[in-house]
Amino acid sequence: MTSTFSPPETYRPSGGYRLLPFRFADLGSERRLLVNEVGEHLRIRADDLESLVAHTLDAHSDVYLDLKARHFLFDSDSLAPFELLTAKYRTKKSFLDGFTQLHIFVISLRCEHSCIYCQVSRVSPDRQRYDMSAETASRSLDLVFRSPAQQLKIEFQGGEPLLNFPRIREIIEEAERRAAATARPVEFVVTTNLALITDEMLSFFRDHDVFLSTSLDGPPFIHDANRPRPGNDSHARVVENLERSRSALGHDRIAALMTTTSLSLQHPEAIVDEYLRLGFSAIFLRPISPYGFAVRTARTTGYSMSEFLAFYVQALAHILEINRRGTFFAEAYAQLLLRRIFTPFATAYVDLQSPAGAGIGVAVYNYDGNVYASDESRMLAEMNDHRFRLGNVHRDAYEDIFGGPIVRTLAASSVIESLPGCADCAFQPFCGSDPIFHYATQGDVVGHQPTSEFHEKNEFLIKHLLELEESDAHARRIFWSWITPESSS
Amino acid sequence: MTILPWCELQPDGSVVIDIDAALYSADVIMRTCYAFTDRSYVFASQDDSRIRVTIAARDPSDDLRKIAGDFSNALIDFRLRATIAGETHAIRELIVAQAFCEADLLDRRDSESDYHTDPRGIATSR
Repeated sequence: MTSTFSPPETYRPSGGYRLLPFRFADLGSERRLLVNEVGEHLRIRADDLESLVAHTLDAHSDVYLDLKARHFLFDSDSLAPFELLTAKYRTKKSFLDGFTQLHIFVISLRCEHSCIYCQVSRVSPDRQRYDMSAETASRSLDLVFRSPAQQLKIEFQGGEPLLNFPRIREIIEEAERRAAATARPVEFVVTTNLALITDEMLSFFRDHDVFLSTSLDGPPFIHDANRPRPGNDSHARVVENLERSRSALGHDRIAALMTTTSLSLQHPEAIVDEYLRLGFSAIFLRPISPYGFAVRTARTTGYSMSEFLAFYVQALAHILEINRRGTFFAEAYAQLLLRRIFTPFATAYVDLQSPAGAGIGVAVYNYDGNVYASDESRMLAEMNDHRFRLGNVHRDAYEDIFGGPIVRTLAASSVIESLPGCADCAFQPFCGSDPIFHYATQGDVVGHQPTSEFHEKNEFLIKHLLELEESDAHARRIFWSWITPESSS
Repeated sequence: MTILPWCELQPDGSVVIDIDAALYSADVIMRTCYAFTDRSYVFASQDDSRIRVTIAARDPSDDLRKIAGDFSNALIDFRLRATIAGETHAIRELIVAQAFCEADLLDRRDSESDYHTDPRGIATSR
């Protein structure tokens, strides 16, 4: 390979100092937030920033020493700034190692719930049409085990995957055989509404170390309004079967996700309290996805991102108050952002990384054999938009599915270091991109950053968390408790 | 009508800012324009040494004086960003390349050569 870079010593200044790469944001009140390439950050006065860039900063001042320690500048006695920054950069991007780790199997599109925001499910007795066949499952597993990832995760989704439990059992048993043969650990997650879970299923899940992820939207008057089913008893079934599942599998083997509807917006405290009452140590406050039925029913469930953010701020304040009173309870999205802001580690969250996780971090094997770049891609497909179909397990080779033009386009369109608007954004090391969200909401995979709801949400939340961390000593202590290794993830 | 000392309000309600192209590069001006496309309609044109930016309100109730003032301040920030990026881009590329590549990308011709070999042609460049 042709050498293209001069060695580090070429850049070392003989006198004065040199800048290291960083971006900045205006915090108001003549203050600027500086963030370097690996997420180290510092708040300084606007005139200090101007002096820094003009190379007139006093080398004995506190701000100079802070800037030097956090890798915003280097001088003749700086210790290995390039090597340190390189190691940190590699760590931050280590989610790229191993390529596709998360493999989602849409085991059945059938469901007995008819949730108002559900993107995909069908209330249908037609197993032939909406369940994944044994052959499709086997061919999907062939692709999963072609992935070079050293650790694999298989997640079963639907519809309600438990309606096709025999197929889940076959896939887990076969995947375990293949994992043993290739000496690679494989984890299993079943995303289920829990309403139909039986002792036989729980026994199998316990024997095979399966993790469950369920849905809980809050107290009964919210949950049952969002998630209708025959008998309108969804909440009661979740609560009953949550306890059974915890007894069978262990308390921490079941997580829950909530989806925010316009009804939820009025009740942030009640939703948080319900999670607390049911013994969860975290909640993931999620806005509704702009796909599928959620779009069709926008008039009843729709709200703006600013309304969601107001809801989020209120819920987070309540969560912090719960922690202040001595109970550990985290908000999962804040926890994710805080890890990205305050720790050097990578976070494996496919919806917030650069390049985006679609295809290279996650793949979805649909019940009908089609392979999609993400869960959202198959939701678009249910709206007859197959743009992000990577191929089909029965017809296409691994190389064509995972090395084809769609995966390449998605990766190239989601490197925020080079996207318009994002390239100059100080919050870049904490953020990511979501080309499929932007395609769904703005008609373009790159998106228009100034009007993007993805940008609005992440910029607002990052600023809000930074502000709380700076101004509120209690919040700071609580945030650190969420991101230390002992805390639940 | 002048709404800020450097901003002229046009009869059609838009605001015009004439920018010295020697002070602010076209790249800096376009990045600033892009950042303002959420709150306004922006058009840029060049005439010799000046780049003219025309800003129109998206909504009749928008405060164009504030938008024009914020735009002017943002120009200064984007120019500062360009200065930082210009000074640090080689270091940034080095860090990213070294982080991603197991192979050795460093060009040691400078550090492992002497003035006789003059690999970069320094002696002959003047």
